[in-house]
Amino acid sequence: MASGEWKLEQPWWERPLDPTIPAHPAPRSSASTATRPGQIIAVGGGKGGSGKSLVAVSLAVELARRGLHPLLVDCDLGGANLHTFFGLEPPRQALSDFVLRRVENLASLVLRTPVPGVGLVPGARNAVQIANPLYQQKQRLLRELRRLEAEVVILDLGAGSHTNVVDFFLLADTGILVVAPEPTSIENAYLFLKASFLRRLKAIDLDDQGKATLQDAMRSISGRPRSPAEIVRAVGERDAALAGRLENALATFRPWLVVNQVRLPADLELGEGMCAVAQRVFGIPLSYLGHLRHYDQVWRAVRAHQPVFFEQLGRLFAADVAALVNRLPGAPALAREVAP
Amino acid sequence: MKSFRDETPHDLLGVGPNASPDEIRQALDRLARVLAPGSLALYSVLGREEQRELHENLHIAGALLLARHEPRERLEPRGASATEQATVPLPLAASPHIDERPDPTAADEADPTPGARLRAAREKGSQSLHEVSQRTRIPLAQLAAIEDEAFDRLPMRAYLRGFVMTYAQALKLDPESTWQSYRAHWEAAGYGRDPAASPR
Repeated sequence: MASGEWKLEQPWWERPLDPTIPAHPAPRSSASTATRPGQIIAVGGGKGGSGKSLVAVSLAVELARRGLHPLLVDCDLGGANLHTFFGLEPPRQALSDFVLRRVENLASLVLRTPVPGVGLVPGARNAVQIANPLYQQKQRLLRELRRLEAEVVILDLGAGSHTNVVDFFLLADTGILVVAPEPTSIENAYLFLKASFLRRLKAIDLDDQGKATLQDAMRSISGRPRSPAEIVRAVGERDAALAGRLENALATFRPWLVVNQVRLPADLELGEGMCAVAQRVFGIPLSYLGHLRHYDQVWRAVRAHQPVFFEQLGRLFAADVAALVNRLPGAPALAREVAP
Repeated sequence: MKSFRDETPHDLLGVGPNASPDEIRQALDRLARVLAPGSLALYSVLGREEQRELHENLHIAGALLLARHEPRERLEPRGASATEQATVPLPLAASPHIDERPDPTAADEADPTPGARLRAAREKGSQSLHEVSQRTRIPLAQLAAIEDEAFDRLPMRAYLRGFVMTYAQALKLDPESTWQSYRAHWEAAGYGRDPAASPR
């Protein structure tokens, strides 16, 4: 095998340092974006400890197994620790430095991970300063992420339903909500969905007349929890054209659900139930992506700040992750087993 | 959050307009299981009472949709002739949200109340509520509430209409005119006017 060929198959962050390679990769041409590279997947879901990072890392590892070069980005700016999943040292430079403009070049932050093909942009070194970046900062970050030469970018979001987290979720092409089968996690997930919906509504560019109509409609149904379906209906009673615009803008809000830490047979029905609730009670089209079983090994490894060795988790875990990725639109099928 | 009460039976069960009885049964079984009262998926979204109501509405929606597929004999008193069966239209062939403007003549002839007329027709045919409930799959308590005109125990419009028309047909009354007179009473009692203002 010619060495040049081999290098072509590596993501750029795994190629040897070469001064002739520009430090900042050129923006993708429109021809290459037609095949939808640089797709951004955001993994969020309200409560801390529900396993967002595990899901993000698992997706990245599985996509790499299928021949893609996923780039993981630790967006948990209030408590970044994705590097720990790979057993990496706390980074010298991180995403926070980019957001604070100490680093202009996002590409220079990408680290190699022990998993071939998977790159990592570590999160924050100093949580206090950076936990809540401005909307413009987030947009700049997303813009730069799209310019990176990664076939798929996976954002691991922080906990909570703060606009900081929700904005990343909404700016991504695909949003994945992670819940654990516990009441608190489920409650937070529903709050996250509602917060995302309202944020998406606010982000729609309306003239003053439209804003007034929307506000009037929201006020008319206040006092009760406002479901998306109700808001659009109330707007429709006032201005059918505006309601149509809202529906179009909201049609792109189609989050996915992953149930993590599944232990009981009943937990397997939780995802379907939550999707049914989201549709019938909130009017939000939540789709079930799948589940990950609970593994003591994962829990132990995370707790001990040890890297999670996915190859040791066995077939069931691999099957769970593969099932998630199979349902992900546009994900490549696993054509062949990758030789070790 | 009231929206699950405004859903049509099809939307509530998440089945298409042409769903087969098997598809309806499967959807009902699955949803009744994953949305059972007390299930984790409902946590923080619906209160206890609402959870029971959702569960009940799922079963009502299922019964309503299945009733449309029932073989005619099961809706007719035994012995109805084949020609008769072919000419009587199914009560719910149209969507539950068809035009429902009040018919001014419907309430005038209601000397005995519409509920009482249903009861009289049933008793004339010597049928028990239980028998009719078995045949129509309408829960017995709902049939009794329809006869008693206990409106606060009755479901929202789309379901009530289905119940009354199915019941009327089972008793060989005209489904549409029975519903019209029943609806007039129901609305006169302050029900079903404005979804936001109605007690249900």
